[in-house]
Amino acid sequence: MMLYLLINGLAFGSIYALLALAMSITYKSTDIANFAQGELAMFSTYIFFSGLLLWPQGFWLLLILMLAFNFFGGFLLQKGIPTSSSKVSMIITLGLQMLLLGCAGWLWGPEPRHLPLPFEAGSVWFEEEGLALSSYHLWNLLSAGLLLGGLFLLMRNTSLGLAIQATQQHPESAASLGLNTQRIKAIAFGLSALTGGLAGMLAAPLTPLEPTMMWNNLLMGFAAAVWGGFRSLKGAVLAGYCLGMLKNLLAYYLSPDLDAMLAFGLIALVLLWRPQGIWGAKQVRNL
Amino acid sequence: MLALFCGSVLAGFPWLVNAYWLYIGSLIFIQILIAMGMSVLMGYSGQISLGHAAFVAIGAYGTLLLRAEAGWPFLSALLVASLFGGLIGALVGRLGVRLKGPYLAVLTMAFGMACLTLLGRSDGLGQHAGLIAPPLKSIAFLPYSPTSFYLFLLFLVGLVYVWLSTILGGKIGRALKCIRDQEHLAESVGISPTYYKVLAFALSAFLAALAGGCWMQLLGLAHPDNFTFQHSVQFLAVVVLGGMGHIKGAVLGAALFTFIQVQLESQLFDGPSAYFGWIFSGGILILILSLEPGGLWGLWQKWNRPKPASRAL
Amino acid sequence: MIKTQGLSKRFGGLTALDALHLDIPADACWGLFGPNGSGKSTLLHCLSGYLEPDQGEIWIGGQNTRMLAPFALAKLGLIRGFQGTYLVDGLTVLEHVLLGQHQHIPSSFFPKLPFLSSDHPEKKARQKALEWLDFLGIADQANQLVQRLPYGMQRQVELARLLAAEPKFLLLDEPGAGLNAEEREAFFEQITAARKSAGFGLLVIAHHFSLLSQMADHLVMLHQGKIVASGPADSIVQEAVVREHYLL
Repeated sequence: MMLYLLINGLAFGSIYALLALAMSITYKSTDIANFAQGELAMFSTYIFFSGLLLWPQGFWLLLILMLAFNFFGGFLLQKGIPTSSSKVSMIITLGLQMLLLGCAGWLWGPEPRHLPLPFEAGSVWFEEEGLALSSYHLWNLLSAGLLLGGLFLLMRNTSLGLAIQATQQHPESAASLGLNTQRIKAIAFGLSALTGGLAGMLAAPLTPLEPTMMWNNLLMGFAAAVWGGFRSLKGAVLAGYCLGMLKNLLAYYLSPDLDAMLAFGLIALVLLWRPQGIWGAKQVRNL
Repeated sequence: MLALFCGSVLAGFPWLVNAYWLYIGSLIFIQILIAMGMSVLMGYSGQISLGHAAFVAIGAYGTLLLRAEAGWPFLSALLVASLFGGLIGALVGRLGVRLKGPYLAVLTMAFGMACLTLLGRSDGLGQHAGLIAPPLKSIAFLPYSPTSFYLFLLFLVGLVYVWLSTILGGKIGRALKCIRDQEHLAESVGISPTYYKVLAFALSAFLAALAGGCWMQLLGLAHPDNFTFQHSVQFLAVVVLGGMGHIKGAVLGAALFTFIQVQLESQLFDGPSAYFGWIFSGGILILILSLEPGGLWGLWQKWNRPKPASRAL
Repeated sequence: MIKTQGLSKRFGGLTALDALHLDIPADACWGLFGPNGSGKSTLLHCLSGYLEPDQGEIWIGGQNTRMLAPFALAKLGLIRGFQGTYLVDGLTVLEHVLLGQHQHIPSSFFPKLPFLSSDHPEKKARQKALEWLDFLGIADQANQLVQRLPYGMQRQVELARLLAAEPKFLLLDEPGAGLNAEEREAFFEQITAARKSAGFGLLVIAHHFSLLSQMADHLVMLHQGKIVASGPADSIVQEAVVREHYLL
């Protein structure tokens, strides 16, 4: 029982972790908190879904296409958002969120859809008291793990990753070293859209594909990002997985619709306790 | 003089138009109340809230419950519910007082969504079905009718406008602007940033709850679907359209936003109206902030003066 | 009025203030000088509550200020100026001065309707603000937006704002910075004149030794967070360390 709850929680957790990571990457490199992260994922999942309707056999190819599409979408998005003030940019992403929500509802309708997976989602590899872990959980955990691992390798070991880190930490000195910081920021945005996009595709079987599917996920992603202080990528991922398990335990033992309350409680707690996040650095008064 | 003229034209409005436009007019007044509060919060004190729908809900449910369960008259129920909304606003504001940038936005967003969950779960609040308001027999000594309710809202908006523009034109307004732009300077002249930030939060929550009580009575019910996160963002879009430099911008923004939304929706859109509302407010946010972050009020000032004096955020 | 004991402040490995003892009388005019990085501004930030000292105590008017925020110190009558200009967008000159009067205008959530009566607190405050502007000779600019004024005049608006706060003790951080010699001299004269008419204590940081020695009746030189010379203007010029740094 406990095992089921924890593994199922990890499946939710990988969605939150991916979203929180996506938000932290954006915030760290551009100072923009992207409120459209969840809806970008939802929208691209809908496009993926429409593609699958046209070409049911092409799951894997379409998946790769979608991730690439997300990357370029994010890349272009960064170019499009005015960066004069991070507050203005943040509110623009809110606008984008609303726009995508409305358009998705308009184009695909409010009824929940089922995103088909290329493998038997019902093939159970563990069952107890009517609760089953399916190959879906395996797919979820594996693909999230692969992407996260790939991203951390990219950040740590490649020149692109180092350039992104340099831009995040000291934009001026990175620019003076001859790095094209604007392009690097756009690439970071692209990577974050790709990460968030995968979160959407993993979420679709857990919560049915519908325009509002990312509301709670976005909030939980934010809660995880806040726990990581919006600047610690590792912290965000860790918090995401913890949050997923916590949510699942709470859903089983108390009630399944407490997500928002849990998120609010955790956000309020961390902001009261350590406003800079658990893993964030302390801010110094700037005179 | 101009104010008197506008006032009398607006007061004569019910006898010039049909019931539909009277309803839209009342809706605009309710939006104006919320927008003025958002303008105090965002334009003057420089904070942000993505959870204002929760305060509107407190006003709506509070007024309804006080009337239905305790049998209070509408006006006292409205006032007490709004004061309660202001109190909750003060608590949220106190919680978020040290937060900058995305943190306050995330905190208020989570607060709004948590309140919505609470509405959907509580038996006493009608869960997902909402509550039906007891019918109103009279309003402020007039027998209830759409016209008298419209006139009541007009009076309320006028009162709040005069009150706000007086206190914002004096000590309180200066202190808020100073905290927004130069917090260190504010402290050096004896302004407590905490006090004024919380004050702005409480004031705008009070106005949102006031609007919520009126809205509930206009619709005849309180339903969780009216207080979603998307509503909070829509309130934001209204002040962004009007411009945050002055509460006049909020009044202008609320009137124009509601009017255009209703007009466009009836002409262009055949889907569920919630989707159009989302597209419209999203589009407004993106367009205004990319083109003219000062909104309509900023545009007006630019037009009147060679150099704009107001700042967007 | 201001007393410190063992006041220390470090930034990382750098010692900005090193066990400083000060005792400034309420009506004194002290001048503070010293090379860059000697801890002058840090001292001012600590006194006004903007920085928390690592060690030591501060008393303002006999009250220990350990737990007090800057705005609470301002309420005790300790008013500070800033280096450079701190302006609020969209406020006029008059409104800036009114900002200074903030704590002397009674709060009014339910104001008598738009300034009808002549004893309305806001109206009285405006009157007073105009008097200060008149005193500094910029009353004709009262309704201008501050960011449109030349820099010298912006400094005067700041001074008017500080004076309007009715300080018991005023802390100024390089009030003459950015002004040319002539403006600076006139500005210092205005500060002295204001002090004569309003009678507040003053601690002023400045680089211009001659101006400072004319204005202040007691000079203190800081070096590496320590007081290296202290005394009335005519005696401090005799000290070797002052001569060494200021080549008099």
